[in-house]
Amino acid sequence: MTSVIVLAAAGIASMFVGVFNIKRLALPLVLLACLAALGIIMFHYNGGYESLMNNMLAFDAFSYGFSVVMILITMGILVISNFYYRNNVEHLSDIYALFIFSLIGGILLCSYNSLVMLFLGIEILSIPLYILAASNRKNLFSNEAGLKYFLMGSFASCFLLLGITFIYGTANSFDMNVIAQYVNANPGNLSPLFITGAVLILGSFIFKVSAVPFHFWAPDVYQGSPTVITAFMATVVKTAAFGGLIRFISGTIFPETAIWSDVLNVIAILTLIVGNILALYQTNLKRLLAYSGIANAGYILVAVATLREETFGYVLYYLTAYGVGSMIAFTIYFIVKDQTGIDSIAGLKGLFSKNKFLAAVLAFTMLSLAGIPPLAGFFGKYAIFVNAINANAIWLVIIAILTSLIGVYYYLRVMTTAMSAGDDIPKLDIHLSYKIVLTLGVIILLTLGVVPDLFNNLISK
Amino acid sequence: MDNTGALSEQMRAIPLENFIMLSLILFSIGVMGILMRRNLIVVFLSIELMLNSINLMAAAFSSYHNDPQGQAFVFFIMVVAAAEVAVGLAMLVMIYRNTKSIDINSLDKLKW
Repeated sequence: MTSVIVLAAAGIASMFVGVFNIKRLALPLVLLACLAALGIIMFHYNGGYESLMNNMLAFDAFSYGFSVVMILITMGILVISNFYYRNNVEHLSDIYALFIFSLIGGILLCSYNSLVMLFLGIEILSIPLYILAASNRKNLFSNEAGLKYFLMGSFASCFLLLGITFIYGTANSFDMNVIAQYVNANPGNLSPLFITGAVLILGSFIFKVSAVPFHFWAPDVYQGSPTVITAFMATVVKTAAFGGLIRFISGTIFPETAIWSDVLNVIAILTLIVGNILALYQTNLKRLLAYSGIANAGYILVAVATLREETFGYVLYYLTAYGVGSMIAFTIYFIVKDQTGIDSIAGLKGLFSKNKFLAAVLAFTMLSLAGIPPLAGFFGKYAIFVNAINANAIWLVIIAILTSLIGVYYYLRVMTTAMSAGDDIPKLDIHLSYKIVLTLGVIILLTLGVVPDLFNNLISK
Repeated sequence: MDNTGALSEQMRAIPLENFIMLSLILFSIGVMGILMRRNLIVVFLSIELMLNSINLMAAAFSSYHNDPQGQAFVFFIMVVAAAEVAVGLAMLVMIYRNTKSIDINSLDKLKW
């Protein structure tokens, strides 16, 4: 909880820094706050359970693990955005503040123990993002992305609220422990109102993680928003939404597999097929990454559909590998677009001769996303598939493996385009802050690939 | 305390199902409004209508179950709805400045 307070204070301070015209302080301030929050979490972390505010929030190993990953990725994005907004520093400190507020929502979404807090977490996560997505005010694409995200997001949260109210009406409490007692007391004959409520809540989570059939907003919003914000949405928001989804399932309706497991099986299969096949047809790199995000949500849904106690660690591992990978990919997309002005995959042509470092990082990332050993993406997929086989979901695994082969094709297509010879355009320069983030990202991907047990030991009890 | 009890008694003269049906009808009107109307202001109104129908349902459950949590939840919904509409209206003004229109169909740049 202290970490959330530190982050909130830093967010507010960052807005004041903007008002008093000492904007250079904003980045060090928010980065220090993130480090402090990380330190506090590490210090408090002992596998214990901390219950707060009448049991509305519960910080445990699960929420600490997810928080650490989200804070780390946010720090990377904050560093990138410093250079990304170099020509538009007027509102930079406000943008940092909104990132931090959104991060706080993500942390709450991974630590709630009451459905009220679930709702507040989702809203605190989303409302700053609506603003950020539309933050490029003069750009019609950004306007449209922001409005689409806003309308879809509030539409989905209305259904979330309806679901929460239905559950409240039957279980007579918002507290997840009471709801779990209600579920355990009525095995197999839950009230239809309760089941409807649970399905509505699952539906709004499926919307938030952009899984089929509620995925249509993601490519549009991702394409229209400024790139750093897209990177934030594709990584931190997805991590938070999966954290919230797993917490909801494991905390309330876990014994009733008929409600969640069967539904998520179907959705996982649909997401894998639609996400991977539509990604094949993309020429815009940003949209390709958006569909890759949808497809990766499918793999994580395979793990969630076959949820068991040890699955938590696998999901977090996969989310880290995917999050770091796509953060790097979005950064490279932005660097190339910034200097050549082309946003299609063909714009990567000749990257190898323009900048060897960038091409090597891109190759690493694409190999990791495609799931080639010994990088992190491979072990993430491996753990999820083994987990699903242990849960007897053989068909799910077969479809996931087949679709991941399609994934290999379009990831490698990006990589080979970057490696192919292009027209001799002058060399690409990259700013030092990008270099640091890219190098750290590749180190994380490699370390996770070499020591895949790191996370499981951290989060499993 | 007696007053609240009396109020609850009066409310219970109307069955809970009626409240749920009314809220669901209002909610459906909101959904239809979002799906069918093209004017952004009407769309925002429809979102408000959906949120308020949920408020009504939460208050009804709270009253029938003699449990104050539902009414506290209504306040949370109101706060979030206010924040959401503030963001939404700001976005509407921004879009009006750029396109001189508040029709949803005027925004169709992003397609696959």
